[in-house]
Amino acid sequence: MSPASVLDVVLAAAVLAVALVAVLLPSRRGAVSAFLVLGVVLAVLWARLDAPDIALAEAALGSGVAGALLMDTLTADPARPGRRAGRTAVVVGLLAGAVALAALTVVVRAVPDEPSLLPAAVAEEIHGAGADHAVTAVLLNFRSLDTLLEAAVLVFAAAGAGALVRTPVRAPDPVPAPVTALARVLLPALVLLGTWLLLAGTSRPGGAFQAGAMFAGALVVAFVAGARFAASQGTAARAWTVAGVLAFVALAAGTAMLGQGWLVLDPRWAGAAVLTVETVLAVSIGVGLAQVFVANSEARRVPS
Amino acid sequence: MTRLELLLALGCAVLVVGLVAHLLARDLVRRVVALNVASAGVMIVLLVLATRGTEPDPVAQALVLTGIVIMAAITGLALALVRRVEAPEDEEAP
Amino acid sequence: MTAVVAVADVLAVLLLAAGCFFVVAGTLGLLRFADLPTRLHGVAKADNLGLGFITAGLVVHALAHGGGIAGGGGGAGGIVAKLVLVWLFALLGTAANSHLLAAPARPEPGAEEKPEREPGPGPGPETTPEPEAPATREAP
Repeated sequence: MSPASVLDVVLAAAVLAVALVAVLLPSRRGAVSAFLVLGVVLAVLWARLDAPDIALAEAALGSGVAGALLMDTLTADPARPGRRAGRTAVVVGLLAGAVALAALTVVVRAVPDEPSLLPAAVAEEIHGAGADHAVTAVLLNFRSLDTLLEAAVLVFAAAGAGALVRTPVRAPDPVPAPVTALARVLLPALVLLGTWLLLAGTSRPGGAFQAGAMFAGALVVAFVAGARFAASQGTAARAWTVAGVLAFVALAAGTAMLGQGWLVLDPRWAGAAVLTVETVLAVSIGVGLAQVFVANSEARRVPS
Repeated sequence: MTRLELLLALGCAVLVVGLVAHLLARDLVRRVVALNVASAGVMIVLLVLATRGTEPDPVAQALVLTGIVIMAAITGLALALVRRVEAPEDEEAP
Repeated sequence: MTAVVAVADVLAVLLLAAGCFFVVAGTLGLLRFADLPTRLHGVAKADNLGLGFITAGLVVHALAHGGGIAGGGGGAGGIVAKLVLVWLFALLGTAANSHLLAAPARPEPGAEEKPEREPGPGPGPETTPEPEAPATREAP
């Protein structure tokens, strides 16, 4: 492993400093702003760590979707002065944190320095996996059970947030002129970018998650611009939200009954299966995250 | 100090900072932000461990990618709960 | 050929440095200016100019060194097109955001001229205009 360069030290210091600012600022607005900055600094760190997929996902989801959700909370609720933790709690918390940090450092230092055997195993099996890009192959084939359960978590989040809505969701009206103008340009661009990320994901960084984030962004833009279909929480939206899990389960059941076992993909049709599931998953993630956003924009409204 | 050691220490520190802040913060939105910071620490540790070989480890990267999506979804659910908790009618409830 | 690359590298560094200067200047304006319109003025203009310089620097770099992985196999052409698109979208976003943020602060025609916000001595992050504000409009 190479010694730490100046850039590494500066980047590490920046990440730690912004993380501290994000948790220490007393106001909501300050904390959320610092968190958005943290997302940008982290994206640089991910790029430095040879993880372009993660950098894309961080920019699209970690900062994009989560940032938009947090921002939305700020304007919707006037920040109220939160009570501060008592002094005993702070002291105990800091002590516990110090102990946890020491223990964690000991543990991660005990991890062997040699590289793991997994990259070699992936490289060996990637032919016939259905995707040439290693991360996509892992997500949709080698470890597809993780991805299936992750899609299920998304369904739970969308259902939970939707359950908190007490009034029928309405699209914003009237819409300021700049929002409409921006939406006209952004909507096709986001859909195009999402589709490109989805298709490119089989051979290079990108894939269903980044594409899903783009679709979610497109739906949120449409919602903010007053499009009624984006505000819908009806059957179609729910169906699309669960479609990702259902596609995965159908694939799993099919391979279990007709093929060689649960989610074991035959190299002959693995490519088609991966791309099909990815497409459904991307739309499903997009609709699910947009549902979470729309539910958030209504969750504080009291039924009149 | 090698880059591996430096960034592993960074990941642990960010995780602990986020966790402690999550447990100590009383403001609900700041709690959600702190939880996101803690998850960033976990991601740093995993991604740094993924760079030990000549090729980055795609399995660890896929794991982190899954984590990012889950964190975004959970953040949305948590914020919807925050809004419901702070909705005006609940303040006036006996 | 190497001489051309060397000249291009120097040019790229100069452009990037100029871009950083304008971004820092814009951020200073955001932190130090008194009220919302002047802050938006500082950020929207200086930051976009800075981003333009940074884009130009990266374009020069891409042309001198080829696209690499970011070129998408299309060499420098792909990456240049993407960089220019990024800049154009940023311009568009800033224009719309600034308009949305400034519109409520604009005094009604004929109304008494009144500053939107009292100029404070050292505005912290609390008074930072939020770039995401348009996405946060509530339904009436």
